[in-house]
Amino acid sequence: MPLDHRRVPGPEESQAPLLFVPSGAKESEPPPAGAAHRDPTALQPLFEFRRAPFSGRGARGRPSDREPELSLALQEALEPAVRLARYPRAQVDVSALLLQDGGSALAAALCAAGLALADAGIELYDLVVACALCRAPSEGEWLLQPSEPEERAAAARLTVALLPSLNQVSGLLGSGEGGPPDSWAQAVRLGLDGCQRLYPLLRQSLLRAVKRRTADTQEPSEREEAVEPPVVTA
Amino acid sequence: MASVVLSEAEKVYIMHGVQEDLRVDGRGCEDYRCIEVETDVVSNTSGSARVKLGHTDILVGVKAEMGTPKLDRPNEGYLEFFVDCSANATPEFEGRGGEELGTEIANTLYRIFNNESSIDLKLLCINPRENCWVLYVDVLLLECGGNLFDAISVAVKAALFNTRIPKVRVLEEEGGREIELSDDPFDCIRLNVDNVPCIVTLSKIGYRHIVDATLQEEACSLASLLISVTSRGTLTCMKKVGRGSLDPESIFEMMETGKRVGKLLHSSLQTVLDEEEKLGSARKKVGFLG
Amino acid sequence: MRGSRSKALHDQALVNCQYSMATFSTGDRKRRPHGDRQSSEMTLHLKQTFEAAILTQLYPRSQIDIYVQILQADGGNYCASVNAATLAVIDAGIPMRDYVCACSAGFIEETPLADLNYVEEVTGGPQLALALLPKSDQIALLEMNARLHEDHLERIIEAASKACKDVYAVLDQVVREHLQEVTALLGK
Repeated sequence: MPLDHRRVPGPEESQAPLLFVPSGAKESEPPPAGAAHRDPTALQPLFEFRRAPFSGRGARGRPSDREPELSLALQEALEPAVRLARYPRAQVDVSALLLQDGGSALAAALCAAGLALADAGIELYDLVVACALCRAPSEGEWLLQPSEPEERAAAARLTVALLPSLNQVSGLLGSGEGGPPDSWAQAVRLGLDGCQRLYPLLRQSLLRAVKRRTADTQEPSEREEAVEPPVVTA
Repeated sequence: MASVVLSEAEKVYIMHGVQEDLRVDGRGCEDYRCIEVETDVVSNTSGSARVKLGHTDILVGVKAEMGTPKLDRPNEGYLEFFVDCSANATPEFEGRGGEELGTEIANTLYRIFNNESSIDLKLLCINPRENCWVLYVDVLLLECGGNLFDAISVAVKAALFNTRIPKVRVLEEEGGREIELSDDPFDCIRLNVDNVPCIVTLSKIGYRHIVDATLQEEACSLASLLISVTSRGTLTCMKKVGRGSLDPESIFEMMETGKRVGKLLHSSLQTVLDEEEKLGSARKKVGFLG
Repeated sequence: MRGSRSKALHDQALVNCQYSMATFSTGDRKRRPHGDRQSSEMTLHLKQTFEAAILTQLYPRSQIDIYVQILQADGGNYCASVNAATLAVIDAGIPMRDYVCACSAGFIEETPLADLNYVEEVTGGPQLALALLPKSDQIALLEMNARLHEDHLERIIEAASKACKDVYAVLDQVVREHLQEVTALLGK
């Protein structure tokens, strides 16, 4: 697909499907049997990761350089979390736009996309939490959620995505010189730990958003019928 | 991506076999299929290799061309990867159909070579900031029979082993430098491929993981872990592929298996390459028609 | 039929070709394997050649894909492609009017040359590509570029068609041998 770099992609308008909201806290879903079904009639997600031309340091670089790879990483990490089979013949577009790269960009995009999917009311098995790590060239310590200078100087980089309540790793992408053989395993453990610590934070923010919105919409109650899931287009 | 469609019964059959450590073609969970490697098959290249792994058929050509070093690495050459999925592999690849898979594989190759130790890039520098060798590693996918990544990485390593870059001298003259090619065609640089990693893809089927999955087995697997291992057992890249998710514990197990299998793969590949090298020009070439 | 059904022909099969050259097949690295002007032209030529040879009216509303991949180029790409594709079409059991045999020819210093190699091709001079249905002596495709005096044309075509017939002899022998081998295996 040829990329159009002049426009910022994304849904023109997005609203949460309020139909689902007022019924209180969500019950936890049964764990997926293996993972999402590959049903041809299931939801067709379209994932896209783009970086704004001005997001990075230095020269403006070719924008399409790493985008396909990151889009694929986004897709592979988020797809196990979405209940695709619940949305036959539908398509959901998830587009992440990186405005400024301050390090750990992919992890941030994964968290944001996971939250956005939840906020859109799309049925998920679990929230997606992601964490970035990098390893400094000499001393060999793995650093959690590195900043941009740390990431640039690093010898190895890793992004881990976790479905925290199911304890399933949905995404793993890393490369570089990991040093001793066990060091990568350590890094994954550290990353998973980081994800678990991040999870309550994301949950809270999601809950807060929902509460705020229900409070907002209590008054114009007649609006409720008109709303339908807008991101899901049949 | 080239794939097959299996019925539920076939999937269950394969899954049960994997559970018992006996796969459809009689292999155990950690066994590779027989790999055929031949180097120096395309005479128009600086180095080439053809690898057959079951029905997977890969041809890799390395071409050395003169270029300018990248701005942030003025005294190093660089590698460029390109993967072409031939329509002969499957009609889906006709036109631009193979591009998506091609970019995915090329990006993975960039990723596994994205470290200092894989290849000594300083060797490729001719003239800091001005001239360097650019190695174009072009992969041609002739047939898909599962486990593309492993086969391609083996082929890339074999082709880099086979690569001979002509020696050049830089003559300092007034009014600029001049590059002179050596007269002797056998006077060339060889690359040290000891630290070039190979990819080991571990596919999760049921509760176990297998290496070197066939197309049928790939259809049963929801998620696989792709790791690139050097001959000393260090990892240079890890990546989860597929639409499913993995248990953290199984990831650690898979990493261990990957290292073990990867080391074995490297040592046997190196033996074969050395043997072939020893035969020299007396070797009977099989070529594409074999 | 794959892809859009609108391309299907109601009275004959559609011959679909793709000519692709490996990026490392030539002396200088090619930037893209197919889709450039030269490959598109070659694709068209192959399509025309095989539309002339295959009995397309036997398979209405179907499609025959012919994919040609050049691994190493040393002149005569079109001719090698046609000869290889003929064998492949025969192997696939698709009925043809006749074998299609192709050969290139050139004209250097008053001498006609059959089957030019890469060096002879790049030196310039007239080049002719001929695809022949040898039994009926029909021409499936004839293409010539550069300038040549009319008087010499006959001699070049003569040289090319003789080479085509030689190719035919080899192809025919290979097909027969292969068939004998396969039937012997089946007989057991």
